[in-house]
Amino acid sequence: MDKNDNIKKTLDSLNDMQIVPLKPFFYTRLESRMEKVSTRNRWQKSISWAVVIVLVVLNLGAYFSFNQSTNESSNSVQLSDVKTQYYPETDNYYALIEEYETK
Amino acid sequence: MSVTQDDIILIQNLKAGDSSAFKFMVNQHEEKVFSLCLSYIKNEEEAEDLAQEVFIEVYQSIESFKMESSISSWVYRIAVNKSLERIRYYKRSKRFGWLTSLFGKEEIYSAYSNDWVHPGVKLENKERSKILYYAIDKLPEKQHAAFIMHKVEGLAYKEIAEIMQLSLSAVESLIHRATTNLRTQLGIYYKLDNED
Repeated sequence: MDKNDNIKKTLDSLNDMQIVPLKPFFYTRLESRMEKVSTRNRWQKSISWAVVIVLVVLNLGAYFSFNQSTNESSNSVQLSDVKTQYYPETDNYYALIEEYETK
Repeated sequence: MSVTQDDIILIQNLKAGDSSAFKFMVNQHEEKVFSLCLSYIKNEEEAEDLAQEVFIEVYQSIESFKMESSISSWVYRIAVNKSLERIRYYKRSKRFGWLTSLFGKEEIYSAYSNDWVHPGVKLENKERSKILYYAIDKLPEKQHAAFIMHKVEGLAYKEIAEIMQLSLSAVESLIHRATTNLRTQLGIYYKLDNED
C-alpha cells in the first residue's frame, strides 16, 4: 500500500468511533467520594486551628518569659552600677542588695 | 456555547448549594466528561476517577465562576486541564520509575502505555488507531488537547476555542499544525515499516 494511503487511513482511524458508556451509578460513587473529601477537609481545618492556637500560646509564653528575664537583667545592671560607684572594694552582694532595696 | 438563560438559573442554584441542581449538572455532563478524560488518559478506571475529580472541582469552585462562558465550556475546560495534569504526572512517574522501584514502590500507572486501543474504535481500525495514538502522545500539549477534542470528541472549532480560551484562528492553527506533525511522524513510521 502507498505510504500516503497508509497515513490517510491512520489519520482517519478515529472516525465514527462509538461512545464508551460510563459505568452505572456514577453519581452515587461521586457523592460518596465527596462525602469523604468533605470529612477529610473538616479534620484538616480542625487540626490547622489547633496548631495555630498552640503556636500562638507558645509565642506568647516565650514573649512574656523573655520580657521577665530582660527586667531581671536590667536590675542586675543597675545593681552592678551601684556597686562600682559606691562600693568598688566590696564583693558582698547581699549588702548591696539590701542597700539597693532600701534606697 | 454562550451563556443561556437556563445556564444562569442553573449556576444560581449551584451557587446557592442546591444539591439537585448539582445532580442535574452532573447527569448532563458526565458522559462527555468521561469520554474526554478517557481520550486523554487511556484507561477507563482512571478516566472515571478523573471525571469524579472534575465534578468535585466544579462543586468547590462554583463561587468563582464568572459566567464568561457557558457552564459546559467551563466544565470541559476543567476536564482538559486535569487530564493534561494527569498525563504530565504519569510521564514524570515513568521517567523516574527506575528510582522509585529501588525503594520498592510500584510504578504508579503502567497502563498509560503505547499499546492502548480506544474501546470505541471500529475493529478494522484498531491497529492503526494504536499507531495514531502513539503519534498524538508526542504532540505539544496544546496541539494534543485541540486535536483530541476535534478528532476524537468531535467538538467544533468554536467550542474548542471557548474551552481553551483561544481565538478561532488560534484553534484552526493548532489543529493544522497538529495534523502536519502527525503526517510527518506517520510518514517516518511507514517509511521505516516499509524498509523492514
